[in-house]
Amino acid sequence: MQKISAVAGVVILEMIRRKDVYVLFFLTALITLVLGSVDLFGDAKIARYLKEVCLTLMWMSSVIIAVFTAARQIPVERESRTLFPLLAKPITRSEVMLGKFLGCWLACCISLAAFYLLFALISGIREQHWPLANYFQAFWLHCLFSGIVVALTLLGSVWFTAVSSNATIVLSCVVGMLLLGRHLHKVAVKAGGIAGHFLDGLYFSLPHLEWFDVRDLIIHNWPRMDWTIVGQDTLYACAYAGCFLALACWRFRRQPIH
Amino acid sequence: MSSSAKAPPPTSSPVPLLGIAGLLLTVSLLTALRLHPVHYEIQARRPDADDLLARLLGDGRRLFANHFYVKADAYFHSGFYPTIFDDRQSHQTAHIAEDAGLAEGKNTGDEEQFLGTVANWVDGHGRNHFPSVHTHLDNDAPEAAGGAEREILPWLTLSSKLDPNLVENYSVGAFWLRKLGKYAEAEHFVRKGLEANPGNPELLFELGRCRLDLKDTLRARNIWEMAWEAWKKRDGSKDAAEQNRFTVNQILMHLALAEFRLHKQEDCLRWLEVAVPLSVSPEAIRKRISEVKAGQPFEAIDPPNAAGEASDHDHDHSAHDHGHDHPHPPAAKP
Repeated sequence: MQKISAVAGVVILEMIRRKDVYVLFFLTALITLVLGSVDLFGDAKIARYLKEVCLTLMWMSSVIIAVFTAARQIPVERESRTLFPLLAKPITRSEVMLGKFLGCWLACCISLAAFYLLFALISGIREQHWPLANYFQAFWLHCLFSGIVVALTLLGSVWFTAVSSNATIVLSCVVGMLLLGRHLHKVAVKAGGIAGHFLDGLYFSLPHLEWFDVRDLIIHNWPRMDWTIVGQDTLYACAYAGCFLALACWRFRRQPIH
Repeated sequence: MSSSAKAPPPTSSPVPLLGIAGLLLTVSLLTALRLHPVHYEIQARRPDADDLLARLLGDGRRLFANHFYVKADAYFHSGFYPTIFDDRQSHQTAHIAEDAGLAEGKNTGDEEQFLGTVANWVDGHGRNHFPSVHTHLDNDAPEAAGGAEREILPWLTLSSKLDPNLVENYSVGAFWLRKLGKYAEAEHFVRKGLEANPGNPELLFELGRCRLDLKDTLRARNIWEMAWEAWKKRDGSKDAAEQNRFTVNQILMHLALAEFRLHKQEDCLRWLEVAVPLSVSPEAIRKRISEVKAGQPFEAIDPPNAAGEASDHDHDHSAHDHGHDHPHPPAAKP
């Protein structure tokens, strides 16, 4: 565990040094504040549109951070040849992979914490309403989502040769699943035949990333979800992230690094 | 040695370069003075020159206007809204317009059941993660009290900016603004719509309602007369099937109401007589005529339904369940 956390620590330090997260955070804050300053019929209590814009930007930023942080880990180490001295130390390839995952995931969680703090402040000031438990649920589900995406990207990074192709494929899959995941079964029923069976297979086998997106519940001030549901989501996310990580470790162990 | 090696090569006096820069600056200032009036004139020919959305998207922005109009309706339902994959029969007409009595309802089916029954465990579990209960912002939505309807307004404003000719934005926006007690803002919004759509009968009708809410019945009557003329000009020569009978019924019934409130019973009856051939259910109008003749107070007309009658149910909106059996609104007191 010590070796894994050491690798993870390096990844977190790297994220702190890089400027991507700061730029995305600054842009999110700037756009939200500019939109918040718009006068809408002199009613300062109108807040939901602002929450929607802020959350959408946060989701976009989080996907970009998760995918691009995870996608470059192994290939960059390999290109800069820092992977060889790392593996020359008493550390297994699986531990390197797990360390990379932990580092990327924690980095995502740290950046998400900053984003959600900003969101809570903006919506709280605007609405004079602080449903912190709801925000924590949304934050935690968002972290779980990032975990699955990071694991999937790490798997892609040992599968595809280029960072760009990996990032593009993972981004397409994630966005596609977020938009269509909920509706695959309906489309399958309408399609019927082999196509219907294929789509149903996808529906049941692919991770339902849209479950972790509870923006509508937050935007429209719905009551918080049952904690049991959140617990089930946590198990679901752990299972999928674990599955992707196991595959990534297996592939990385068998892969020639030269 | 190294410092002398890095020193810049000797150059000639900077005076000629500064002179050239000064000359170029003078030329650019003179050119700007020369071109500014021309540019100003060109800008004046483009009224949307200062509109960022218009500059960015051009006329293509109109394509997005309806999306944001529908988004306002989705906000009215606190996010519980059918997607293109769901059964949309119950949401063919935006409820924000239908409930406002501004559009003829064409919705069928059960608005609570567009998701259908739970198909499997994935579907069942997934429904915990998005709004899956039908509510209206003005009625039973979470935190509905305290004017939560205001939340639809940003999207209507944006939609009206994207397509100034989508008149529903103005009429629906004005209705909900009036409901929030923002009468001046409602009238201002409708007038903006009228600037973009001069003489539009739907907007004139809504403007009349703004005046009526401010107890300015006389001006409301005059505006509705203008709306009636505008409707005749626009739809009068069309076939009955193509005419917007819904709007004209609203206009005529409100004209009758205004005349009644102005104690002009004869004129009230005259407008009702005009409404008879244009109404899908003339019997209901004839009944009204006989009631007015008998000296009974002119009551509000039933909310809009398939028969296309007019409505004056602004005053008790909360109990509505559109698309189905509408409860009768309270009588408008003359």
